[in-house]
Amino acid sequence: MKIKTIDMHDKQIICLDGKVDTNTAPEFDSALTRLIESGSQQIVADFEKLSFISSAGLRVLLAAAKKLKATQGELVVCAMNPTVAEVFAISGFSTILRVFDDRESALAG
Amino acid sequence: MTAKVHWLDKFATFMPHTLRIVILLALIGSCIAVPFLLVLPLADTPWLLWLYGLDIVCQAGLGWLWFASDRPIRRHHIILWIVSLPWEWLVLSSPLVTQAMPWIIAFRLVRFVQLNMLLQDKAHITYRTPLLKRIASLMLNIVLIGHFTACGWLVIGLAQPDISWLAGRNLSAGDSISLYVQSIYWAITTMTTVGYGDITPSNNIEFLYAGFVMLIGASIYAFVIGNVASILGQLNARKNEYQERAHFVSQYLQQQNIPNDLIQRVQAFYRRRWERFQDYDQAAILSDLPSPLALDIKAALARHIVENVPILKHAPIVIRDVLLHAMKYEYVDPGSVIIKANQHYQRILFVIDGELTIEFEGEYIATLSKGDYVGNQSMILGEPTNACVTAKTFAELMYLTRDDYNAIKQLYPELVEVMRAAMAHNNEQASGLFLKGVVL
Repeated sequence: MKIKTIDMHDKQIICLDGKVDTNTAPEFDSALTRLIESGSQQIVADFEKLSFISSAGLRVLLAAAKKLKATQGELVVCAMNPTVAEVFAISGFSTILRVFDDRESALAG
Repeated sequence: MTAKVHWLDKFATFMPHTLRIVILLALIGSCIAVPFLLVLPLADTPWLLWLYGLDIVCQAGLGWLWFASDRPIRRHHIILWIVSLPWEWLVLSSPLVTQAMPWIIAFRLVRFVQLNMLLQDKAHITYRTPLLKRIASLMLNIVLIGHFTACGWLVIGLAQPDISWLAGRNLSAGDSISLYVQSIYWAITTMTTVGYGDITPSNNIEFLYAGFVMLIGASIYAFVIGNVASILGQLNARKNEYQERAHFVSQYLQQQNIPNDLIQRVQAFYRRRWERFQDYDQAAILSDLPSPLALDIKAALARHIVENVPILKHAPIVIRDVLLHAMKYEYVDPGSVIIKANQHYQRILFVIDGELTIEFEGEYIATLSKGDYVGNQSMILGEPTNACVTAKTFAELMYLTRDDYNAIKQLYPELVEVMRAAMAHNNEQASGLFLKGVVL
């Protein structure tokens, strides 16, 4: 899995490429934690190139979203492929995190 | 969506139940009155004329009732109704038939057939207790046949009062009530084969009639005994059969040295299932019906399910019907392990009623109740569960398998949106558990 972060001044974008599973979830967790600890309040997780997410990956996302919510920040998700979108829908987390169709609308929202 | 109902059927359904009861009572009155009218002078019994008039009014109602219902058998009912119209009134004015007039009233006896048709008209009289209906119907028929027999005996006696059984009882000039009481007494003693012998035939016609009544009486006696035995046999038959089955299962489990607490659970389950469902096999009942009607019934039966199962509540009617058709129902007893840890649970389970507990790493962590769901994460992530779900009380559950979910999603891709909306229910608890590491 490849992780890339883009600084958009008021918002930070974290782009994932590949799979987030039990092995790669700690890496994703570290990347998110670094962003939060550096003071980022608005984070956009861009899942355009994410092909799979496991429970471990979802847990990292949820935990980060909760941390940000506690400090009035927000983690939003965008550009999910249908498989990942379905995982979000069925697992019930698409109503906890705001989900956008693409990066532009996520940055605007 | 319900099927379009013919306006006549709608009207028939709308007809007040009480009107049918009034018609039923009028028919019974008519069955009693007509033989009296045939036998006794009209002047002696003015109340019979009132019954006669009431019957004609009710006959109009009955004609309409039958016309407005049961279209396939309507013709049969209408022919009977036409026969039972007061034709004697048409011929009353003709001097040629005046003498024959009392016998034309005998046409009214067709009421007896109508009465039995109405009693058996299951489409429009719903009986909460079919056995009670059978008993009432049987008793009514016995009383009316006894009444007809008594009136027949009386009319034969009155034809030649000086050489009939009436002469033997010094009743040649008796009043109507005494005549009828003696006749019904004779009819009952003869038909029940008691035959005290205090009223006996005195001429050939009476001997023939008495012989005929004895034959009929014996048949009716056998019919009554057979029916009573059958009715008694059916009393609680369903419950007895159910209890026997439960007893047989317990016996079998004892033979197989199953632990006593498990056997007690089985017994408690059988008891509770009887209280809740009376052992009606809903699937078998629904399979008897055409599928559109079965689906309507299923939706009506599932009203509380629809209210308590989030995906059904949020689904458009078309998808809801498909889901209702695909989802399976399960009734579980306290202590049943619904989901084990490390299990690939390929279905989403919804709690309709009762409570389930969740244990994670050997500790209780949450309770699921009406409207909650579980299994969705394991199913969609394709990961094994790591917690255990057990029934805390008797619980009604409904589940959707992964295969059914995928099949429906192929036909209706919008199912994913329905799921998204549905899974918002209780997701605070679900996300809390998920963050603790629970996958269910």
